[in-house]
Amino acid sequence: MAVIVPPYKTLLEVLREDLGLTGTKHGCELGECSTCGVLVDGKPFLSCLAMPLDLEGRDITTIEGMADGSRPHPLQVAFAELGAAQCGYCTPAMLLTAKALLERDPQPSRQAIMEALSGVLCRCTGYVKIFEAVELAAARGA
Amino acid sequence: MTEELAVVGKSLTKPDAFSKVSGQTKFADDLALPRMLYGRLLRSPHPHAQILHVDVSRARAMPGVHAVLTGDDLPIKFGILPVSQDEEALARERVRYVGDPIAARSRSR
Repeated sequence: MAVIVPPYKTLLEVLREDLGLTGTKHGCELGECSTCGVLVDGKPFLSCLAMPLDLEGRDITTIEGMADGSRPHPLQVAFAELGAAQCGYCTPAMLLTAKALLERDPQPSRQAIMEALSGVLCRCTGYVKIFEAVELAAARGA
Repeated sequence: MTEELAVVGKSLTKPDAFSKVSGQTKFADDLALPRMLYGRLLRSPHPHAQILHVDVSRARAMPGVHAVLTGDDLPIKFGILPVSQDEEALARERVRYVGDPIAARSRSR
């Protein structure tokens, strides 16, 4: 999908306000919490610090585009089954960051999962279930 | 006590789990309602200062503005914790930190 946007808006604002894609969350707006995380060409990217003009022609994936049509991504299934989404605010960025990890490293160690997700803050502190859900999805061949 | 129970002792998927993992859950900041108003606070640029006078007449006169409030409109201290019982919603007479709210306005976008 191609979008024409005002030059002063961040990617986060365009996603949420112009496109109505509110699955991408507004957190600190300082690049500290990563709850605004999306994928740009498959890599984790902070939408609150990104200007769309810099991203012309790039492939942007938000949580709304993570499922394959009506079929949820194995990470989404694992997160739901294990209760890895507690309040749910960090969940979209957690899922997308984990997706980028599994595409790079399909069978990551616990340490690799912890490092890959270390930038995404979960204020519920439900990290263990999140790590376990990534491991479950990896075991199922996500 | 070996009776099989349907719920007790079982690990069940939370009712809102799929809504959360698909980004569909609506948090307060995600809601857009018809005729919604947007609030904004005027905050203190000073770490400690007396408020001598707040003139909101120009803010009130701006198009689309529905309400402008200052501390005098909210005289009841609201703190619900013992340590915060002196808190005011908007500063009156004195601000005590950079960012202390002084006035609030709501307007249609």
